[in-house]
Amino acid sequence: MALEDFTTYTEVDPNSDMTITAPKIAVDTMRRDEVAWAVFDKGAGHFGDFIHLVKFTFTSVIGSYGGLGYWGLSNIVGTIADIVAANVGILAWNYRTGGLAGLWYLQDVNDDYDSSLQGFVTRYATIERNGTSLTLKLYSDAERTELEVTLSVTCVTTTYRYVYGAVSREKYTDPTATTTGDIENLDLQEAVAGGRSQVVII
Amino acid sequence: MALNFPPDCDTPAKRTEYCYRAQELLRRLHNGMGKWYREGLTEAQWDQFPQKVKNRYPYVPQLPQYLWNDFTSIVFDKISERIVNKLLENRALLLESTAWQINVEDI
Repeated sequence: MALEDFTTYTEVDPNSDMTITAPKIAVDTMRRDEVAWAVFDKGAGHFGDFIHLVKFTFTSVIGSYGGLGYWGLSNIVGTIADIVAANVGILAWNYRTGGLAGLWYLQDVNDDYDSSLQGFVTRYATIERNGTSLTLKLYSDAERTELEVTLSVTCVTTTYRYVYGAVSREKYTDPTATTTGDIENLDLQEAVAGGRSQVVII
Repeated sequence: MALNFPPDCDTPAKRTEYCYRAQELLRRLHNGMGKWYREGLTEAQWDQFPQKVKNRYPYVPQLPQYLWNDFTSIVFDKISERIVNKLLENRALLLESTAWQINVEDI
């Protein structure tokens, strides 16, 4: 499967906190109240059930309700605050001093949330939606043989259009509340459009 | 196969606890199998697995990739899904618990 090329994502980054290369978004001291994101429009109704893979390493998260989304789906483009206000989306994010991993499902009155203290280590995430069940499994190795925790939330079957490689919190002005870390190797595990076929001559 | 609670596991709180414990035991099984695939195990280490797992995956020094894939997709994912479904169902019931009078403004 092909990794997402983050250089093709639409980037809003007024204070140049993100350095984006094809496989990676490196975030350096992004403020909690920042308005920033890297998002791709896959088209209306694109994401139903899915299994997505991504790697993240957060080295610093300072401040309550700060942090950064390292993966998300929504039908709007904006910050986490915008997605919360619109109440439509799914977010996996690291927040709070100490590095709390969270899975947040937002859909009108069906909001659900789960979290686990992970600290500042590299994690390999598998995010899966299967009907009305949404899980985030965090592994400590790329082969995903060492499972650290499973977070789970109930969801509905709304389809989504936009996928986020990174999205800021936009909450509570405080210049000392910042997040630093890398997000990389997002794999949506989808067939590449216009994929090549291979002819084998025996 | 299904997740069936014991007769005395009869409240959302107990069932949620049961599910989290089941999830933890599954995680440990997953990681034991992962170690077998990644590094290999002695036969004595393999012998610690549940009998059903040993029946399905007889001892070899290192679990081959196709059997690791079999475990993750056929065994682990299915059991994980059953646990998660029951966990979410009972956790949702806990949110509506009236076991205590709680004044959040006093917390």
